[in-house]
Amino acid sequence: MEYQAFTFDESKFSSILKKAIENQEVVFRDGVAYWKKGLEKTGIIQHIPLKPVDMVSKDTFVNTLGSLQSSLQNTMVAVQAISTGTLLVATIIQTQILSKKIDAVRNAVIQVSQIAHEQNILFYTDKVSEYLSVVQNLQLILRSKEDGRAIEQLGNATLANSMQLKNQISFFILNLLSLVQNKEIKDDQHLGLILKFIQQIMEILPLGMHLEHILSHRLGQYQFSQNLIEDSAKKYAVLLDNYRGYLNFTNNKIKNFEIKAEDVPYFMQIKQPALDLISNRLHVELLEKPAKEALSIGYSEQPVLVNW
Amino acid sequence: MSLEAKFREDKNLAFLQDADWQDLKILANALIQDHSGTEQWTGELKSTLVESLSMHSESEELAYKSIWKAIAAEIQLYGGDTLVNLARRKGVEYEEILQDVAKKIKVDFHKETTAIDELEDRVLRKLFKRVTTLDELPQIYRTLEREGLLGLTSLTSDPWNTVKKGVGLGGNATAAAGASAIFAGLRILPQLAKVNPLVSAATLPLTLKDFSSPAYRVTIPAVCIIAMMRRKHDSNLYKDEF
Repeated sequence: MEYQAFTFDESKFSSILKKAIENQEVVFRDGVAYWKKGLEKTGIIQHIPLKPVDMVSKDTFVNTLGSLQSSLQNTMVAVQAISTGTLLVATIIQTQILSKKIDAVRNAVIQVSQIAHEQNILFYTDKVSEYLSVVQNLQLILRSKEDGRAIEQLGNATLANSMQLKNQISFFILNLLSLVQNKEIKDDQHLGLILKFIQQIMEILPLGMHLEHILSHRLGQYQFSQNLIEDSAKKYAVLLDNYRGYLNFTNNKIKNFEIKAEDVPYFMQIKQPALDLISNRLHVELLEKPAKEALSIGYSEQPVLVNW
Repeated sequence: MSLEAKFREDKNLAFLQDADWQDLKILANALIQDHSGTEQWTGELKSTLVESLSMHSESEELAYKSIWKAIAAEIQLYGGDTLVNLARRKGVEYEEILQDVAKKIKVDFHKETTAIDELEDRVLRKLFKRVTTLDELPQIYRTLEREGLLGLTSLTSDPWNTVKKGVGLGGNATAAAGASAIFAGLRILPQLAKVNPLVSAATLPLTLKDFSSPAYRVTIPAVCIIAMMRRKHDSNLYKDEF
């Protein structure tokens, strides 16, 4: 199946932008090229037009984004040094990739809710459902071509919701991982569903976090959007460290013949998706790189138009 | 039954799956041929390796890495009692092989409490007076040869030591007298006993037990190589998959 992805239209790059790219002085954010922070020049270099390219989707969401990432890198010969995160997000906002993913996560939430009887778990699965709706709203708002001022009220309300739910979900996932690591979930089937749920959340969270950051940026909260992505990158790194800790612990036990693979079918089900999640390094493109790429923009400056 | 299928799940050899492929190559070669290049009387490792190299013609690394279980199985088979292996079709776990080697070279250890890596250290120190590395392989083989621990190769260069230490006759007058008789047969050994320990077994007045017991000419160098590989592996950052 083919999707339409987006890449920079390099033929329309100004000579100043080309020179700035050569000198690695550019940050691309929300379709706009900015001077990096710390240079003599500040503000916007150019609004960048995007052009659509075809891409073939893979079996899974993470693999689709991974292949998109590599195909975008191939189309951007002149700007290889630049993060592809901004293009990934442009594609995600403009296509149905995210909606399909949200459906898959929602299914995992329903399955966990059906097996869980503890009130606190049900409370948090409700929060996850709410968060999925908020992510959809983030996408919807960002897809709109309205000026920042026109979406300010709605955008700020959505942003506040997103930040709160994201924090609750991070806390929930850490707790679930702790339950799994401490072998407090006895039933293998339940364990399988919980792990699948954690994997799904780990896949969607970097996107939700990045969309939140872009919305904040579009609302003109330039410094705050930077703080937001830095905080999100740290939160996700903690989650990923914990998740990897569990995965490596179990995997090394299998490798060392301390447990048999057939005795941990729940682990074998998430092994490949988890490997894909880590090897595709989406969290690096969507969280770590933008967290390190502070742009220089004055509070009076505002991009006039978002050209997605 | 393929060689890999003969592999016993062995936590002390599990690190081979993450080992440097060039070290795996050294280990496989040590099992296939001795340091002078003479082929050992190996089971199926050579054919398994040849097949793997042809299947992975694009990458020697992949060829060796994909047969780590077959390499481990070969060691396990060498460490087992040949006749018992015939019945059970599998060898013994590495811990038993290491303990056999340690006993053979008279290393002091406690079966229940001495850890594998500690015992390997003691084996290396007993043989080479220190913990050696894989870069020192030629000197290691020279020492093993001098000590009469390389079977046929030692036999041709230092027969008395080989018979005394390798076959375990030292300190016994009757056995030593028997050993003198062995030398009569040694002149024909270089011609006859090239590859097959059966030939040497036929030449020497060994008991059935001696013939079928672990092949120390192979397990001693193999244990040394594995010990050094484990040091190297442990000193590297642990290779987590995730």
